[in-house]
Amino acid sequence: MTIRIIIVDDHGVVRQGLRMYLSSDREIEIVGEARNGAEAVQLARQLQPDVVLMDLLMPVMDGITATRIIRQDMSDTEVVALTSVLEDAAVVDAMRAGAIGYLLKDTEARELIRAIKAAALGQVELSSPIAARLMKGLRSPEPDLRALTDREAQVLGWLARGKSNKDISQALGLSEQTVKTHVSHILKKLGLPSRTQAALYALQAGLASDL
Amino acid sequence: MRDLLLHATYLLPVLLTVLYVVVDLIIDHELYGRGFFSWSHAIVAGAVLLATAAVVAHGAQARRRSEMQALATQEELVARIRERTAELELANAHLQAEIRERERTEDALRTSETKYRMLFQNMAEGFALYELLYDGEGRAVDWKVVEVNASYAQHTGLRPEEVLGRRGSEKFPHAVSSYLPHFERVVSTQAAHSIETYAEAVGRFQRVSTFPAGGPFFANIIEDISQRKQEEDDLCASEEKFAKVFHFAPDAICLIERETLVVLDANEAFGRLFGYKSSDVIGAEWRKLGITSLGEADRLGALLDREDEVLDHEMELTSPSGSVAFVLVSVIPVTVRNELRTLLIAHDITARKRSQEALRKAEAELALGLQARAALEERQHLARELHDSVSQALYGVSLAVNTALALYDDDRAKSLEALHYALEQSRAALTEMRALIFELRPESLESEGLVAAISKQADALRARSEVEIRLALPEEPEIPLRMKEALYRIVQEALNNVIKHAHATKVDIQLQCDGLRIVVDVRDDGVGFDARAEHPGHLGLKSMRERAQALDGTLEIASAPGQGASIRASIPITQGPVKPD
Repeated sequence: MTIRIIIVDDHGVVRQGLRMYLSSDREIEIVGEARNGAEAVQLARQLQPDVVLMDLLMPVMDGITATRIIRQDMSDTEVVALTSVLEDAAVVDAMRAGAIGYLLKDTEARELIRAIKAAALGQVELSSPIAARLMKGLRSPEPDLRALTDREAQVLGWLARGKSNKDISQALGLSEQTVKTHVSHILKKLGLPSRTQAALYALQAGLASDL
Repeated sequence: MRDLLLHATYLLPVLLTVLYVVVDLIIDHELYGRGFFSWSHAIVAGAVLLATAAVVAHGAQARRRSEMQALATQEELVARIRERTAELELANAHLQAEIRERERTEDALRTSETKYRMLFQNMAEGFALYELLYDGEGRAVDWKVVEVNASYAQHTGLRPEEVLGRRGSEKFPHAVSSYLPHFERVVSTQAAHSIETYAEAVGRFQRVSTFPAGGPFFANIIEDISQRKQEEDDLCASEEKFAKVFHFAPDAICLIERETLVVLDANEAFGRLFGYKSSDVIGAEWRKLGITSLGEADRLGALLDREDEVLDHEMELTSPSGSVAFVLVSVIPVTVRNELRTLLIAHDITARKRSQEALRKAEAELALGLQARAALEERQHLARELHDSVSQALYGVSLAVNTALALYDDDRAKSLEALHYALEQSRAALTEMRALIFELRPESLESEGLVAAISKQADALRARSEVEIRLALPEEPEIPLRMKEALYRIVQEALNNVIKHAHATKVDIQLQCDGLRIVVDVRDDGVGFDARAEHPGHLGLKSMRERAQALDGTLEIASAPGQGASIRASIPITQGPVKPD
């Protein structure tokens, strides 16, 4: 099973490099390229990719706006922000907009593939410095975790421990698709755009340690 | 008879002589008609005649005896007559002189009297002779008018005939109480005295000088001093006004004694300016006040020592309390009642100075801020450029090399392809890097020229975008460096906009120089924009226009949505072709 991705960047040289490098991994299939956020949203609707590799600073529509739209409209499509150091502040905004992960352009190339695969598995990464910043920036009032069903709370607990959809399905004896559906319900109930943020709230509420 | 005849013969010449002498005297001294027939002569002559007759009558016998005696007597008589005649002549001469002197004196007296009477009648001052009147107990109770001159009427409003012989209490009932003691004093002390008074009857100020005139009499001279009074009043009013101006003037004013530098007067503003009470200042010596001028320590002292006028001399003064004031000092030497003094006026311009200072500072800060902003903008521009170009290109290169490494074992052909791509991208990155370094070194524009700079910029853009860039550039124009800088920045910004926003496929850059103007056109076939709309966040267009306008040039933007855009900067070469300096 391949991971279908869309590459979004306004620099041709970057798109070409990414296509070239990511194509070298057999699990990844590049289904489309976009030069800005607007094109990305359009392509994502059209192609329903697993992951969107999203540059943040682009003309016409920036990556953050595009991320928000994609996460709202297509909860099964995960967004990984790809950015240079210059846009460090924008990374936090991207995560708030619903990106599951982020990568700096100076990150080692293998990490890029690992991050895309983790995103495709629905794995939340809370060890990054960006996550700590997200923690500080949690909005108040906190979403009410009591609205969740026991099963949903269980799923969220696993999510917060950095488990993938597959891990969770195995742990709970569910199908992967059922786990995805649970996560989707959780985000809707909590009014959150990303697993990452849901996981952060779960950590705060002690859901992860209950297990 | 013979004796008689004999006597007669003696007597006759004697008688004839006497007669002759008498007649001669009378004729000689013209005593006729003057009422001055000399009785003494007549008496003498008569006596001689009588004596002669007696001699004739008293005896003839004696005649003979006395003939000799008579002859002697006759001779003696003749001598005595001559002697007496001379005495008489002398006495007469004295008498004549005396008479003439007396006549002259009387004439002079008459003349003088006339003269003084005329003066008395014609003098402008009123004159009156009065007699002080006493009651039974010797107390002065009134006075009587004895004589007045013509002017008296003017000074009192009363004609001489109205007042002569009348009493003061009749004519001046209200004045008795005030004048009587004065008159009485003059009469009792016999010393002149004068008073100043206001005569309501004529509405004038007068000086009445009273002199003793013997016994109970005294004289008044009335002098009109209204004009002098008016002048004095005017002076008073003017002094009062000056005093008000002095004390309430907004400028600090003090009056300093020139020799000793003692402050004679100072107004409230002076106290305010230097932080004193006026009362502390007045009477103090200037130097002890401790007011100093900054910089040259004694500059203020030097001003005070000068003998000419100094106007609006700007200086910075410090009072002992440490307050500093910027003032315009005027030092004006004045002479008051023959005393040399110095008027020091200090106009406080501290507030003005401070605001000027603040303005200058703000302007300097603004200039600095503008410089800093320009530098910051330049840095941001370079950062953007690095991010947009070199950084992305290098990322592309690293991805390509990573690809080559990943595929090296499995797919040698694709690995090689990736390496070629990496090489190509690293060359492009190098070109862009050169363009950026060119920008970082302002002297490159000077050494390599505008045409080369634009060409490099175009090369860099070609390397990173698919836009076709066409250049129409002349030979390097001979224009000042600042013009080249402005044109280069305008082109750079315009190209930036094209790459960022226009989605163009083609850009034409044209530079034209006809010796009068230099014109640069940047034209693209992109999406265009509404050139008439405001572009508030769009600093690019604004800074392009500012650059052109700073050189008296213009910037025209022609564009409409969907129709591409054209930017034309036109700058006049006012001084003709100039070698870049």
